[in-house]
Amino acid sequence: MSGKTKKYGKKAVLYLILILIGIIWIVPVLAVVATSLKSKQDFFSGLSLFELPDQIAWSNFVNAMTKGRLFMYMKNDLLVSVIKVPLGIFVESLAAFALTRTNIRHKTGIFIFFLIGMMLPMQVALVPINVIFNKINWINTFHGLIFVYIGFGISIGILILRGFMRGIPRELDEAARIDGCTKWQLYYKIIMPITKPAVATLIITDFLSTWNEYLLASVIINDTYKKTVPVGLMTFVGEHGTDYGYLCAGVLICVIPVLIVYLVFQRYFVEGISGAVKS
Amino acid sequence: MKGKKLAALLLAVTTLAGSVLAGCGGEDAPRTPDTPASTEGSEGSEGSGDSQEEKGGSGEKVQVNVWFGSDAMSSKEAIVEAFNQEQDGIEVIASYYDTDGLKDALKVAASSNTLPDTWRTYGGSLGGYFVDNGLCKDMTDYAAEHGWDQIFTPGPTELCTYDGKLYGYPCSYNVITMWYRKDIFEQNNLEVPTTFEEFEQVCATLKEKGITPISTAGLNGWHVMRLVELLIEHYAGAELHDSLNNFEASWDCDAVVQALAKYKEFCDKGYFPDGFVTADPDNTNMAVFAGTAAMDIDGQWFDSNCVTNEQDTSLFGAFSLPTGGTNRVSAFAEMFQFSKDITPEKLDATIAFLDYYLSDENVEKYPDGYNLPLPKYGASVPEGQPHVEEVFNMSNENGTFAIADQVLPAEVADVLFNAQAAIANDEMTPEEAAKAIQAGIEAHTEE
Amino acid sequence: MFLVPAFVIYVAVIVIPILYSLFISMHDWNGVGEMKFLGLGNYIQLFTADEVFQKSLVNTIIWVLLTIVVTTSISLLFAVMLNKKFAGRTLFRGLLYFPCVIAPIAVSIIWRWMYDPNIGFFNWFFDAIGLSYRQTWISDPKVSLYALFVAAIWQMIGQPMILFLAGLQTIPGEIQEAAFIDGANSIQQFFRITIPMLKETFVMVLATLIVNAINVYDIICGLTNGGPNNATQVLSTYMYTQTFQYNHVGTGTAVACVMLLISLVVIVPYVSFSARDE
Repeated sequence: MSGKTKKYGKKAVLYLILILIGIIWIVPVLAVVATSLKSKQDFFSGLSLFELPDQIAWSNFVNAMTKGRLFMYMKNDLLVSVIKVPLGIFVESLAAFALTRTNIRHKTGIFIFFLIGMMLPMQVALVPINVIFNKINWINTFHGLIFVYIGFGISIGILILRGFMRGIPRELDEAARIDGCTKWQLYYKIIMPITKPAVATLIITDFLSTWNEYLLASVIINDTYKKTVPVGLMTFVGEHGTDYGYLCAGVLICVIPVLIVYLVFQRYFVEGISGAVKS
Repeated sequence: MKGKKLAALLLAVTTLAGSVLAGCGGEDAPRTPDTPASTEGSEGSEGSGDSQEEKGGSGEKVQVNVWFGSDAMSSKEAIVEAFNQEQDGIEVIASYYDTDGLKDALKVAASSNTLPDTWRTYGGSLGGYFVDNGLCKDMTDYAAEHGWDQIFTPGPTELCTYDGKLYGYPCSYNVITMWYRKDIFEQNNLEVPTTFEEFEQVCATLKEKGITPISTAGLNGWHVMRLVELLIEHYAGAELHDSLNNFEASWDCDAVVQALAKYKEFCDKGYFPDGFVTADPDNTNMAVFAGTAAMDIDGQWFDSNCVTNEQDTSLFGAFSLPTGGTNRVSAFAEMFQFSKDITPEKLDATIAFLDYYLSDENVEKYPDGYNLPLPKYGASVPEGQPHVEEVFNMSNENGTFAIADQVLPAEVADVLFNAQAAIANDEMTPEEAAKAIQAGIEAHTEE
Repeated sequence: MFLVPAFVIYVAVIVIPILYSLFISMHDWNGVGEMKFLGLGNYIQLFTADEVFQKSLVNTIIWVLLTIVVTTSISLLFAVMLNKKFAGRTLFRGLLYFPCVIAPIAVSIIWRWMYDPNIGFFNWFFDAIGLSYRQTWISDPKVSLYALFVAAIWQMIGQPMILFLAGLQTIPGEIQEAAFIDGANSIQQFFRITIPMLKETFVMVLATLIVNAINVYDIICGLTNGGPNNATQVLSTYMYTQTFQYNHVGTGTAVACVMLLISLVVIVPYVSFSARDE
């Protein structure tokens, strides 16, 4: 009896803390939502940034989609992300597999070599990439952008996948070998399915960073019709002042695809790895 | 076998790396006469067909790459499209960047030898980078040949001129003055000040009434600088201010110290909004529109800002700060520069497009696609922007000085901007700031 | 063989720029024009004579330390709380992750508004609860770096959190259950069982967090751009300023190489140490 009340009490405390944190986390977002619903007059009327206007201006959303061409930017970005993320994860998982499940030498050394990529400030890569891409005509191409994104994603992908693959018991390899599995079969039949939570995590983070990447996209793509979302959003920013209602509406629209990806893949955190190992 | 693969890869890497370094190496880099590789890149997706088009000879269209700002992009796009449709000989490929994105993209392109045929930049030190490094075409002869002195007004032309040579096609001329809320002034029985003392009195009264006198914002320094340079004009007078701007006189002088001390006094008296030091200068008009601040320091585009933000322009008035003398105001120009390797054929095509883009008909059709009025004789003033003409008359009567962030090289301007923040936060005295600026100038000229 | 695709792409995108940067960093170069070989001259200049560089180095180190201590513990705490089964768990997970998905440009606008002393949230909040405390936040050189850090936590906590969440899935459920229900014992269990079992996750989280902290750029550039008076200048913003604003491409690239070097110095021993004891 007392154990049960204690349990409920704990749960109440947990909820209380979470609700408090939730409020802190949501307040800043409210400013964006409120602004996206304000007409220009309301925005400049001195109304608090966190207050909703009397008259809700949906026109910001309509403008962002039509005049702002958000739909086109999102289509481009989606195309890039949908190719980049699986391709990148495939390449990274192969490498992570090699670093945890094969007998190559200098594993730690190779691993660290691959980590350097995420330490490199992207800005210094702009000029060399621009030079090479101009030589091979990859400027303004999606495959060029995808290629660079895969390159910059390799480090974090290998880091995350290697970490999870190391956690998979060695006995599984043994068992697989006895069953007559080749290395390839070990990779796609056993290791990859077990690594699902890590792959899900990686899909979320990778999709997100691809979706929101500005710097490289702004240099590689200068054709208006091929711009990705963050570069496209910057065209909402004016030289002498920004239309915030319009921008905030645009930002909120662009969040949707990432949220969907998040919602689809987050459920894999629930399925424990332990269950997968047992079966 | 593995070893061989690795060796082959390494070889490929070194070759590639070599080509990168050569491409970036500047002087010894092989420059193809047929400039920007981005010409090909722009239609790279069309596959191999484009290289043919490139060399296609006189029957083919001349392709022109233009990089400019993304503000009012839809208007600019409509203009480009109309131009491409109206004639057969030229195809304009336009790229649009946000203000800072354009600056960065141009630097990257300059380093990798991939500048477009023409790009929008500013007069003074920003455009000077391309001049100093021989990246843009000297237009002096072209201008003389085509009678540009009859087309463009002298003010902007002068701001696009370096060592007596014209390096661009002026596309806008901007004049910065004080803007004030007429209704707030009226409610508080205030008149537009005619002397500097009156101006200080106006600020004091406004502050007493709980209204922030001047809306300014310190992020990236340039908005606060607009006031500081006016204070320098007040204490130094026109002549000394000009020699300060030419680096003939030392900034470590009484006038600069007094100006910065007055700025400090304004900070301490609360004449600027709380936390202005890192506030975003794009937002200074928010407080003026909402009526919590009475004055802003802004260009003639203030009117068009009012229009796009659905504010009533008749609530506002413009005046030049009574700094003494003729009450000069600051001015800056924007221009299109041209790639130094541009062929005569392409240059003609590019200018044909710019003439079209900056024509009166298009200005009338798409008034938001420009910083108006155009820097041309007889340029029309857009309707619904009552102050633009007034402001330009002011600048013609009172005279202008070049704006500080286009006079000072970027690293020296940053010394000034940092000093502005440091003075406001009591981290630096005006004397120290003046010394620091002068030291910055000396370090730069040594280079 | 499994490494070949990653290796090829990696060399083209990462290794060439690194070699290029090392080369440039040893020269005096304005981005075009002639290069003058300086050897280690740029580096010596940075470390001995450049006060702004030293300031940004210190700020970067502060940022890294804060990240290691604060960000890691908060994200682990959130992950552990949200790993527990209760109604609304998905909602809270989504809520805490949400700021990550907002475009960086919006994040700086949001926090500019939060901190604005006149129309912003914090000062309004203090007013509302009857405190007369006023603060100019990001304009105050003593506070601004920490104010930016708070914004950074809000924005990026979701990333390490989901890594920890994924890591927690590898711990058998019974142990976690026990860790939460057993009152006083749970804390001990947390440190004795949960944390050791998250060893691999810690490598990932700390490595990414530290590297991201050394390279922190967006939030600082958007909110203060290194100001007021360099109070929030970090290595990445300084690199940007030197390269793109001042056209000191050699110096800027040297700063980038220093950043790379710091990352290596921190990450390599940590990773190789944790890789060894298997």
